Amino acid sequence: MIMKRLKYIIILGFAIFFAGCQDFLDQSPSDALPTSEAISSVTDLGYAVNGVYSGMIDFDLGLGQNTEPYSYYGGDFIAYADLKGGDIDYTASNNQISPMARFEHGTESSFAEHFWQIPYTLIGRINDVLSVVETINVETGEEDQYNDLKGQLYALRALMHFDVARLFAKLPSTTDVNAANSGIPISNEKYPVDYEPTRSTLEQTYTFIKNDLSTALSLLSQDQNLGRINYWAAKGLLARVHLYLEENSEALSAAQEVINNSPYSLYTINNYLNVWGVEGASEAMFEILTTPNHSSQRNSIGYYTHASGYGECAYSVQGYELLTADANDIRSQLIEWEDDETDTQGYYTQKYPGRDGNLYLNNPIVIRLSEVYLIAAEAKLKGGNASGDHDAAWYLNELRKNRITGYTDVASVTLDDILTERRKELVAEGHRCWDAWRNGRSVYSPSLNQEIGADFNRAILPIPKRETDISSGLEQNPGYN
Amino acid sequence: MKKLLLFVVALFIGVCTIYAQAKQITGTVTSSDDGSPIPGVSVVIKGSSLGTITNADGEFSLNVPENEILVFSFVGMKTLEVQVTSQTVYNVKMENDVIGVDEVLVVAYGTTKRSSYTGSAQKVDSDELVGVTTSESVDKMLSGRVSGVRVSSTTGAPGASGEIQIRGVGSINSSTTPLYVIDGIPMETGVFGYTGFSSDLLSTLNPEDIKSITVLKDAAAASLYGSRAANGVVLITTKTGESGKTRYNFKATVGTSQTAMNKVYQPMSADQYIDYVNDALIGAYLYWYEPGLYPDDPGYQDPEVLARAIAYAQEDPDGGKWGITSPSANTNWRDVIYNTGKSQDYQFSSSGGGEKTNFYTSLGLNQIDGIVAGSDFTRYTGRLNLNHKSNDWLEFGIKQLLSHTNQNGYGDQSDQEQGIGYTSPLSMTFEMNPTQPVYNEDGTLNQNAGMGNVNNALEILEPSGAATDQTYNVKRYRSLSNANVNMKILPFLSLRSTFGLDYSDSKTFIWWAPQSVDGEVHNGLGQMLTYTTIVKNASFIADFNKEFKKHSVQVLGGYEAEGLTYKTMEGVAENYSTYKLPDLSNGQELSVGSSSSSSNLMSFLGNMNYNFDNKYYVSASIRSDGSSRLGTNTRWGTFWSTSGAWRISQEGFLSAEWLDDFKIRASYGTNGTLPIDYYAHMGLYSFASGYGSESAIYIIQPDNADLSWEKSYNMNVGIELGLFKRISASAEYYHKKNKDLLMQVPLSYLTGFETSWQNIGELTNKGIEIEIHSTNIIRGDFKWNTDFNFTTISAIVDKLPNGDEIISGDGGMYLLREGESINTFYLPTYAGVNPDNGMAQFYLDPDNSDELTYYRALAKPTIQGKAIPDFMGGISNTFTYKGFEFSFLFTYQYGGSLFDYPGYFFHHDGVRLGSFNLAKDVENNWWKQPGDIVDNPRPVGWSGDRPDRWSSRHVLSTDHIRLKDISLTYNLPKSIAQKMYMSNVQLRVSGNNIWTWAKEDTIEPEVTLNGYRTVDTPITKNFLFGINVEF
Repeated sequence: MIMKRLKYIIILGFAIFFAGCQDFLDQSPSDALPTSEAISSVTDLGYAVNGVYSGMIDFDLGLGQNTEPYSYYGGDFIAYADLKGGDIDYTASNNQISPMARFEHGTESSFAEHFWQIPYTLIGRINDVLSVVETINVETGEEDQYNDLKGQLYALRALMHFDVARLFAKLPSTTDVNAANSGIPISNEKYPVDYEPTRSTLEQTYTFIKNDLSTALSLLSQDQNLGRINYWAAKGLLARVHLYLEENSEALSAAQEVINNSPYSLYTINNYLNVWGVEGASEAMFEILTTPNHSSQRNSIGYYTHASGYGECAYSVQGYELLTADANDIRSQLIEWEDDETDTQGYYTQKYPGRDGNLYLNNPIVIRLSEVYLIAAEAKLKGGNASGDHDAAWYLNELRKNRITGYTDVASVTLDDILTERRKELVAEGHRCWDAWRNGRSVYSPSLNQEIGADFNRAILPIPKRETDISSGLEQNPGYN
Repeated sequence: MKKLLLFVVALFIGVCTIYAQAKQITGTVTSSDDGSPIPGVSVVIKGSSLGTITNADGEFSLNVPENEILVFSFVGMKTLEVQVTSQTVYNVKMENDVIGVDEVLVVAYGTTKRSSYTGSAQKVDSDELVGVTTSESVDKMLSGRVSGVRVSSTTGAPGASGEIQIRGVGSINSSTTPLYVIDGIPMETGVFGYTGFSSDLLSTLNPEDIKSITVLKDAAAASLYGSRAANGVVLITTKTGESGKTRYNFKATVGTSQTAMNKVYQPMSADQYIDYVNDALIGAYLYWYEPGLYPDDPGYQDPEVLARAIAYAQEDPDGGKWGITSPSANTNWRDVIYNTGKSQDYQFSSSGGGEKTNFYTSLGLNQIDGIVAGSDFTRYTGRLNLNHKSNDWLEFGIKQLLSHTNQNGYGDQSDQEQGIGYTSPLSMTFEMNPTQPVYNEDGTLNQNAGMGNVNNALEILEPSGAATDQTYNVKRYRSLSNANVNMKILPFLSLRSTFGLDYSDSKTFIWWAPQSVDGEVHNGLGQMLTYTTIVKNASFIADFNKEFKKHSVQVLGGYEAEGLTYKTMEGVAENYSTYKLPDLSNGQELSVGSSSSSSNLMSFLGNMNYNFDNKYYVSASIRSDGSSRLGTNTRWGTFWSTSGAWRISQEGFLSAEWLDDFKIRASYGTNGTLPIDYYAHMGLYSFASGYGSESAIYIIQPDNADLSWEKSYNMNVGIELGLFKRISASAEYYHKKNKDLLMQVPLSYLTGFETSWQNIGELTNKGIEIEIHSTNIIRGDFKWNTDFNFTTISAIVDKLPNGDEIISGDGGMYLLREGESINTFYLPTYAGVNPDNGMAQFYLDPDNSDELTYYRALAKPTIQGKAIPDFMGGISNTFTYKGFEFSFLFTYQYGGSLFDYPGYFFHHDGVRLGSFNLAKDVENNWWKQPGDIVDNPRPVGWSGDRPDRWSSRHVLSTDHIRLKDISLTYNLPKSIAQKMYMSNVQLRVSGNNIWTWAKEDTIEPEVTLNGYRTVDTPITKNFLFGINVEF
């Protein structure tokens, strides 16, 4: 009788024990993959690179929380330099991006924090992918694509460091590049969670940027690639970086290569008014895609530059007067008066009209051919030399004859001519204040009613308090506590 | 093996010997109190397992040899031993046992007697539950009954969730809810609905099926549940059948309900509103059009300026003076929106059984119509509990519940997210214009009755299948199955096995018709969300129980495994072709999603209880849990407890007639809490994004292989007393240290992440609990009992990451700071209205100076109070006389505060002019001229200074005393009942929340446990009438 009972006991015991295998306790979610499994093929690598691009427009923490996306290139970064530069000013008082125009940011400002958080988080994503990129299984025939994707990662990392350096550190031509803590923290590997960053020098920062761009250039494809960075865009960015460093020959040489050999062409007077809000325009070397499901929504540049949106980025008086000084300049027609019947009204640029009637859909263009011409002109004027180059006036003439009806070439140009042309061409594209400051000029700020030069402590953003709290060795910018 | 065989043989011989000289005896067991027969009494031959049970008439018959002793035992009665002599009939009288000392307690993994229990546990019988037919879920029914337990029923909306916390607050970011165990198997609970429309899974249980609830409070009691027990355990036991004649029971209860406190959420009357608007417009003119003209400025009292201001106020800004037309009506929209609700509850149950099998079955219907039209809750349940003893060593049972609930309501603010939904009933009470009538003269709904997007509240509240409907509905199906097998393989060793399957399916459907307030921008929006939870549980326990001489030992050991799977699916459609067909196929797809997650748990557990001579008790328990929610380095955690008790009253030196029981006990042990997130320990890539037309993936969570349990270290000491056979009392002191609390630690963004979970925080909870149960008077047919409980609570934060303060909550009103209570409010201090100029004043730096400012944005915050009360409890009195029973329960609370989020909108000082009415307490209470001493500043329309923004003005005391339950029951005399062929007929009249004294009587003092008063329907008071028939 006991035996019978024992049998029951044993059967019962096993029935339960079968559940007790060790992987009973290993469970995975259904909407995310463990890091060890997420990237194993070149296709996966492509999606991971997409993950970096998407964060430049539609940055979210990916944890399913319903928050309005922060934006980087989607809107806030594009508007920053023009607001501080004084050609764009806020009319409406929606308190969105307008504090930038007033240089209003302390160590706890959320704007300052986002300008640090988004690029560095994206760089963190890049570093994570780069840490596994060598282990990917590359099939035959995929090598080119694999290299191109790797190159994109390096190029984006360089671009983001460059952006952070311009936002949080002084421009290299205005200060001692070897001073301690003059640069930004360099992020080039996957860090443990208790990492405490410290600042490098400006010299180290820019050397790092140039190195990443070189690595990228050796890997990137020269084909046009809508929504992604390619060889020509990286070259153009390298030219821009050299220009900021006043390495004029290198800048000129890079710009020349793009002008001579790239598949891009300048907009003409005839099509200038129609190339905006269109994907794959002839000058666009690198634009970031916006779609109805993934955009910066109300923080997008289209929403800032129209009265029906936040309307905070309209022309200031000086900006408007500059753009409309010459009635023959096609650029003077890319402006409209808009009024939304409340307190938002002004002259707004029409560079971001949106697609399909949706203001959120404007692909921000990171670099386009006009800028490369302007880089070449400036580099040549400042004494740069490269094989096959032209004199500074030539570049400016090439650009201007595609903008001004009845234009006659000029024989020589001054630095002010070039800078003014930059203002007219690149307004509302994120350049103004840096162009002035790196050349020792000041800008007039309508909000503060004074001239602002590179020595103004609030010309650069404060390192977020959160970061200096976590990392005791991280040095704050002067004038902020 | 040989020894076993020998033993078995000996047993057989022994049994045969017993049967050698047996004879038949019979008898009846009655109660010494009233002589009534007692069914179910166990009559056993001492020293053996042979015996029987008395039938429904108290009769028994048994074959016993002479010279044996019969042992009569029954729950709640003193065990009686009777020598078998030559008599053949044994009629015995059994006495009631002392209150409480030997009641049977259901505890972790078994049952025990209170006298030998070394842990801290409190039992609540089913007849002590509060508001059984009007509080849909069981957790709300423990209000005021158990010391150390804090209950909130946060809203009066039918089906909305309640909250419960045992002995303070156990965690900062993880769950503070106790573990619910039903019939020995842990049960899934939680709020499954839609963000902003809560619906509680616990409401699928039928409270009528419950026999008792035991709350396990300290480590000794709860440690056997290890990793999920840091917040305490609530054990629910359902009714079982009893052998004997089959009994039937039918119960019907109907009731009405209204808001519990009439002064809560009263809006201003029309005349006062018109006057306020006028003053606010004058203020607006001076602020906006004569900019900078504050009462302090010269020129403010300039009659010309004032004349211009008055002229502006007389104009018709926005055509129609903000909807004030003349003549104007005077509508109290609160009365329109909050009506009288009703409830009905019908229960049918039956129980019975024979010697081997017994059953309990029930069917129940509960329906509540809320005080807001269009909100209701319906529950259908059916239950079958079956128990079968196939022979004297094998017994098995099955308990099955099927339940269906249906809930309709409105979006609520249960998630405590920002914003006042303008279609929520409470918001509409104030958005509706008091100067507008509800209906036009021709009887149609007045379409101009609202100040904002809603034209008339009744359009939202009475959906009619129209194009303006907005409806929220949750339907839920649940099957809860438990099965258990008990085998007594040896007299001292039994094996128990349980299996549980809990399947629940909740479907939420939200419909915003194409022309409704929220649906218009989408041209109709339909959302369907499904949550399916499946929990499988199996356990296998061996229980060794031996008494020899004066020693008694029990050892228990076993294994348990549980698997929880949770699936969601959602679909959202917009752009509907017609308002008549809300199903998703009639719109265009907006989004689709599904996910599944699982969490598994594997455990080994063991327990030992030892007592010597029923005087000295020692217990120890240990449990080792492995959970899939934790990092590979820390997957397994071990939890243990030790406890001891000494029944001093059993000692020779301390025995007295009046001292029934005096026991001191102490325990110390550890419990744990698992992370809420199932996958927080894994490094993860998200696949949720896209770029252009392709997928985009990126890393969202860093690896966290060291993620571990939150641990609590509990110490408890207590005294239990039984006096004069009438009073039982206990006093306890507990000290809980919660460590390794999961907190989001900020990381440098260079890591690619914003925060990571780390086990870093620490909290200390401590307090005193006192319980007294006394039978004050027993005289003949009259009896008076009192139950009293009192608890002090203190929950202090000890450690935070880097010692930093953490500020949370929309508006930063919650502060976490080392040394302060959890749920502390942190806001600027309001300094009243300046009588000279009517400006609101705030302390600039309240901790350091008395300086005042008019600008709230400059005022620094300071600590304004905390949500956790200093002490709370309940007191209830019951009077019984013949067939009547009258009882009432008061609950009380002192020392806590709440944050009045809705009050912020209804005391807007003019900022929301044209959107919201104001609260009634603003009437005749705002500044009009110099010298006025009032509570509200001068109204300034759309003021940019924002004096209405959050400050200590919105932190209000929750001190209150409430008559939570009062009832009068009458049992018809048995003779009359029997003439109707019934065995018992009971009539009952009762009420809940009938009377309240609150320090602040314009607010409802019962709020969510973290003190945040949500924009939801206030609690109701109920009047009920019921009839209960047994046959």
